[in-house]
Amino acid sequence: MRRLPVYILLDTSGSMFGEPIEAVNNGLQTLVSTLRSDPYALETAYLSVITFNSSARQDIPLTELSSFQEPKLTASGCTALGEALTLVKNCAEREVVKTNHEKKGDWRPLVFILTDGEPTDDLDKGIADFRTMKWGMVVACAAGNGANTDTLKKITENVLQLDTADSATIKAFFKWLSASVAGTSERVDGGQGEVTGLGELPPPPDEVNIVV
Amino acid sequence: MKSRRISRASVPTTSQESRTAAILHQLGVNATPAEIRDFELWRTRRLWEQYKDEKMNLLTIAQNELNSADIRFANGRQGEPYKQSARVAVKGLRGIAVKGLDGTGLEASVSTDGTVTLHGTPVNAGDVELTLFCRIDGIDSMLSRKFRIAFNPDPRTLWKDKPVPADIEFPKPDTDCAYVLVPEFEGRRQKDIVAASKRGRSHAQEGSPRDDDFRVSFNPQNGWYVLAVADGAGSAKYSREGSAIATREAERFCAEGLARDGEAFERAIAAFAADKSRENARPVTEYIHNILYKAAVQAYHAIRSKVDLCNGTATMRDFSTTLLLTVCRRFSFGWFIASFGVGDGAIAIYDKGSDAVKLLNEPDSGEYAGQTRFLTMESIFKDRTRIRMSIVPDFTALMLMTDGISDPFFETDANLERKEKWDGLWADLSKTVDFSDDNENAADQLLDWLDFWSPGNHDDRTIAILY
Repeated sequence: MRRLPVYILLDTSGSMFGEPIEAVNNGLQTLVSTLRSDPYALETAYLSVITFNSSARQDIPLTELSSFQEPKLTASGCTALGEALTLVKNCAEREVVKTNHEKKGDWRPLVFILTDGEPTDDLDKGIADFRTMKWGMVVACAAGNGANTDTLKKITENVLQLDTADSATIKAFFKWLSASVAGTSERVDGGQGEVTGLGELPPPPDEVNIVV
Repeated sequence: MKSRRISRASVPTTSQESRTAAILHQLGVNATPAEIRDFELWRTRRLWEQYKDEKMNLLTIAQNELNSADIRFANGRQGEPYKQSARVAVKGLRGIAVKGLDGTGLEASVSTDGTVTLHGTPVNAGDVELTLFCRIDGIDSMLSRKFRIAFNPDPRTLWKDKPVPADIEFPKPDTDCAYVLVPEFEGRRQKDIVAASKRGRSHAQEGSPRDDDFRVSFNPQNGWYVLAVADGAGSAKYSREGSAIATREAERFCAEGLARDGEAFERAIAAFAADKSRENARPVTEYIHNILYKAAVQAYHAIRSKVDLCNGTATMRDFSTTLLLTVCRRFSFGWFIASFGVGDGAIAIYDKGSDAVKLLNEPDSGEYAGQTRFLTMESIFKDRTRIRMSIVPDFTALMLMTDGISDPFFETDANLERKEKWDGLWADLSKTVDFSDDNENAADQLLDWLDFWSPGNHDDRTIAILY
């Protein structure tokens, strides 16, 4: 079976402390329980969570939805987004199954990045590493005004911005993320091929703006 | 009021204060009773705070130890027995209690070494939040840690079976099956055909119709079988009609061609079977071309006429369909089988006893979905390799199937070449379908078999078997 790998990169730097990180924790919980009740996603989507603050770590390796258990994220430190990009590429290289004669490989992975600040490490190195992998769809989301959308545009053309990093807005983002993963699972399952642009994902809610 | 204060100040009121006064006196300190009382209050308060701090630290340390202890309960599945144990390895553990399992169908049991076992059968799908309470030596407060365990729904229950709207164009029943019982012909025992087609779960979920189709026949006048299956493209709006036209027209054209030219064709086949020379092969391939290839062309034009009738509201693309087509006949020297194939799916001659399987099509599947080729593309007719033929002494089954079946059983094109994979498919089929001669129930049995469960594979499924 061809899996749909989904990598979620979450900023857990100090500025996310309090309401934002709690909203992210709740968002992850909602994301997983929503996807579990979707017949396409339950079988097809596999999730991994990578967090970054002063360094980056893979909190949850690529895991099928049925056995996924959300991590409890806490916030402190800086914003090592560059390191996170290198890490996600290394993880995907290891975890995503390539097509061979006996087995159909996985679909190209989806990557969702949520950050609320400027990277504090070498972003260019991270981007260079990140680009060596073929991704299905990469969406970077700036939570509030602390993150520079021009910086995120260097990573992907698909950049979103949340008006504020409050719980209602972060919740709306995760709801859209759930719908996007469920929609993509259905799409690949139905033989309609992979998602290539934001236009093929569900429209983001009012709180989430597309940065053009 | 006044006299009472004097009396309290002059006479120590507790034995502790008396003792303290005596010790101070020995140390040469003469404190007033008021001072001693104040000192005692001060000392007790200091020690009490120190005591509380130490207790609190112990509690914090123990709570941290509990929080960071590697205790894990894996997720489970609704309605399936669940049993998970985890040892609470915390120093000085005296007792454990588990709360939050009421009404979940689960129970907790705790053994003396601090192992918590959750067991039972979860009633509902969803998250269960439970709290582990622990009592630790020397700490009065109860420690606690929360866990969330997800109980997944049975994926089968998530798929809906939505009816197709009654008013769609080109309606088609959700299932179809057929059995062609063939008595003996020219004094030789003949094989029967069983075929079935079923709307995939992914279509049932959306209330969209079945896009697959099939058509099978046997002509008792000339002994020729014709089998056709087709898979309408999921993304094309009238593909269900495309597959219906393709199978109907191709089968009709082949049957008519065989009725007309059958005898000459049979002579050419017999000559080729006797001497497989290049000269003898040429007339056979010519007949195959005139019958099978032209049947495909005929089907293409029939779809084209349908598009013309739509007055610009539809294109060939809207009728996109694959086509797997086979004609077959028994001779004194064995069986002759010829095929035409466009698109994915598989045609194979399977013989249980032989080492290899004979594939009679080359699947046009690209690495990414949606790259297959369709009968409705004019370019496919330039490619002469779509035609195959084979002469075999006998076989267990000739099978034609859409990718709704070949994908879950073979996954890749390379696996289609592997005999053991076909053995697996045949074994699975034989569990549900009784392939004994003249078993007309096989049609319904085959339809039942099409419900097999394979994660991620929920396309329409169609198979035609000559056995």
